[in-house]
Amino acid sequence: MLLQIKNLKINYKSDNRLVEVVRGIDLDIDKGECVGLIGESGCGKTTVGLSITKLIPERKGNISAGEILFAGKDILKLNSEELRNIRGKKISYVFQEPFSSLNPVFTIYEQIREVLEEKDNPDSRIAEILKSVGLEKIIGRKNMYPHELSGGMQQRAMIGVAITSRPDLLVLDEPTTALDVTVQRQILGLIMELKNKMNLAILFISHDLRIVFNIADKIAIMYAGKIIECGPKGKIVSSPAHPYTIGLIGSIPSLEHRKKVFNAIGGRAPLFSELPCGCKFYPRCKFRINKCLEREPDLDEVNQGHFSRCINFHLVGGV
Amino acid sequence: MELLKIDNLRKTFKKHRVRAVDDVSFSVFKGEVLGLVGESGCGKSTLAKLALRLLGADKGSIFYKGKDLLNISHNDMRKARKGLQIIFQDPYASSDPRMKIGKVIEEVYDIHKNVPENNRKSKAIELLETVGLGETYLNRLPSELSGGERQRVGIARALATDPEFIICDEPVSSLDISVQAQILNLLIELQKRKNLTYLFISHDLGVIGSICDRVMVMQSGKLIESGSCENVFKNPQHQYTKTLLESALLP
Amino acid sequence: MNKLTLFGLGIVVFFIMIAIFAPTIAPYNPGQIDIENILTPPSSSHIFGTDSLGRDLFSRMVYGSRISLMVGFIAVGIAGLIGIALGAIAGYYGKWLDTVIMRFIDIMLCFPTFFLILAVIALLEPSIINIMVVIGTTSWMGMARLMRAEILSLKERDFIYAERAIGASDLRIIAKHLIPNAMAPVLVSITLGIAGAILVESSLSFLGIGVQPPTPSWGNILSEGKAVMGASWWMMLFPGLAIFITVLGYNLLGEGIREKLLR
Repeated sequence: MLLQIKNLKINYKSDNRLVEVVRGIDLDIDKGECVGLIGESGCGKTTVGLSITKLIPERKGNISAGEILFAGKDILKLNSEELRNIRGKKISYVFQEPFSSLNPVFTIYEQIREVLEEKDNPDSRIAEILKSVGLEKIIGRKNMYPHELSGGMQQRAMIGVAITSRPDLLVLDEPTTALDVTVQRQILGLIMELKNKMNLAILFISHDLRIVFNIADKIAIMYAGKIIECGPKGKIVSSPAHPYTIGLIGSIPSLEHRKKVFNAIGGRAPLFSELPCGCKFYPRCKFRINKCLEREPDLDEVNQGHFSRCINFHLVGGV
Repeated sequence: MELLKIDNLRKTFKKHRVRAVDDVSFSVFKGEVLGLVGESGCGKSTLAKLALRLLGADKGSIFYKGKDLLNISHNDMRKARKGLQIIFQDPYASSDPRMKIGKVIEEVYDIHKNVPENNRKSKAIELLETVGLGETYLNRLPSELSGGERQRVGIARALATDPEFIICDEPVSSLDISVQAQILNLLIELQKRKNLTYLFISHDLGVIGSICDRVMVMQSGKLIESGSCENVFKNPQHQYTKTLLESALLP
Repeated sequence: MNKLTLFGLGIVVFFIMIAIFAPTIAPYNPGQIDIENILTPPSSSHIFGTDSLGRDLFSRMVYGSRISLMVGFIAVGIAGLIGIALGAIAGYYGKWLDTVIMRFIDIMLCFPTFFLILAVIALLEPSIINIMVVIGTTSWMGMARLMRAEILSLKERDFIYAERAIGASDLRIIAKHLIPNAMAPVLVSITLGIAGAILVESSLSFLGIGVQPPTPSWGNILSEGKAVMGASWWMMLFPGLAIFITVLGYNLLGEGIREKLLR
């Protein structure tokens, strides 16, 4: 197992108080596997992604508990030099806004070269990378700056920078949200192609179920700081076992709706400073019973590899 | 009955030297939900603003109930605005950040004088309830509300003049999926209950398919295909439409 | 709020209080001449000493603060009205109106302001009203530019389109929605402007063409003090300190507001 996150807990500073926004996450990612982490805004998914290589700034928050085992070693216990050897080298990131992640004052060539380990004859390696991300047009144009590229090409450049060091794990946080649909399709295709060619492990963080359902092997869904359902994609899509997942799936718009009302989830997600007792989804849940208020359920196995944090899942199961 | 008829509308932005809206013509009929789909930069938002005279068109005409909006006085335009409203994409940017919610709605009554002063507060409460909020929201500031709640306020404000026609410019694009479904439900319900007519703009084909009767596809300022949702989705004629449908990851 | 800003605010409030309660605070009538006690150093009966006509310096300083404040506020008030209005119109309507206003600003900026004020005051009589008006009409340009810049970016925001969509008139949009949301940088300018206006008035009075005696102003007290500087140090020290501290106070406050807004 390449990456194992165990019982990760993260606090964020909000108005001079510490609020727990990630309340105990377990996640495993294997080599060559694409794991999708789904959640709506504010559920903590980006925080989880950032914490994998301790990218959360001190003044914003801290990791209060848990282990992140990468190839057997706990990242949270590494010193800064060991950490630097992993960041950008063994674990790379691709973020949502390529224009803010790429440095606007450096050329594309310079930004790739910065990550290259082979310092001599970088040009041929850079050309190779540009080709592998579909940016053949830029090969040789050493004076190309990020702002001269379209959104899609910028994202390809970002991906190029991320795979330069031949990482083991690629973490992508909403990489296509800011892109047009047609460009999104190309970028997703590129990511899948690279995953297969380089046997990459991928953590794909997004709020868009449609994308994750399309490309992930395994899916984990977050709500109020914890994972409430996880398992192989096929099982989650065909027989979701948590009311929140069912609500999300029922909210996906399509021609089939034909102006009929959606089975929407009412209300809004709870604030981390005001979490209710028992199951955190209780206030919005259509399948709730009194027992749900007693304590927050554990992640129980529904069937092989498929887990749900709902005591009622046998009632809930099946769309 | 034809509610809105756009003829050969054209708008060029001199700064960008792009023809944002290039000779566009279409009609919207009373009671229908007409979708307008296209990717960023195709001109759909510009078209929405042109239709309401929020931006000046270079050429063309906009007939609302038979009157050419580009040829009427400022006063007549203000009266026309009672019937023609708009909901914007970004609920965070579409109301004055310093204005309390109650005042946001009451301002509409102040401008059009369609509600006497002593009734304004109770009418505002009524409107807020129609969109799923309530009296407790009157004194709150936009910054205290979630994206979904702000969008509901935007819808309430659009309804304040009892309009017939509402342009929805990407109203759910910045919302989470679960909130998106709530707002779409609200829009569907309002449309049926008040027999509203919508011009519904979105880049998301799934959203368009779920709420629209007809759809138009826009690319680089031109309308390249239109028809009933059923036909366009199942039998696309234009290559671009086909590409859009393939990329849409529809279930 | 950081400590320096609070300190600045404290100074500003302090002098405002002194100006408001001048009659209560001043132990003597500022015009009361006492030939027997000319140029006496600070003592228990005259804590700041007396001037060349035996008038109590402390009382004159206290009443002088009223002048400084009045000139500061009203001059900047005039500048603010002109600057905000012109800046808003230029920013909102754009096109030729913007060009005309901006070129007018450019022309006004060509004049070295202080010398312009000197020239105008020399031509007119040096009354307080003239001073306030002249300072006001020559220091609005910075505010106009700031307001225009803010409005240029604000007017493209959705909420302004929304206001137009519900039928709001241009006047309503500018006055109720644009200007209040654009005030932040202008507020900084106003605060720093008050400091500037106080300095200009003090300078004019020091040169003898500002507030005329016997009306006390820190500037003209300072001027009197120049003549007797050698022996009567208190005549220059106290007004000088007062001007320095007041201007410092407004500057600290203005900088503090700017820090808060930059975040």
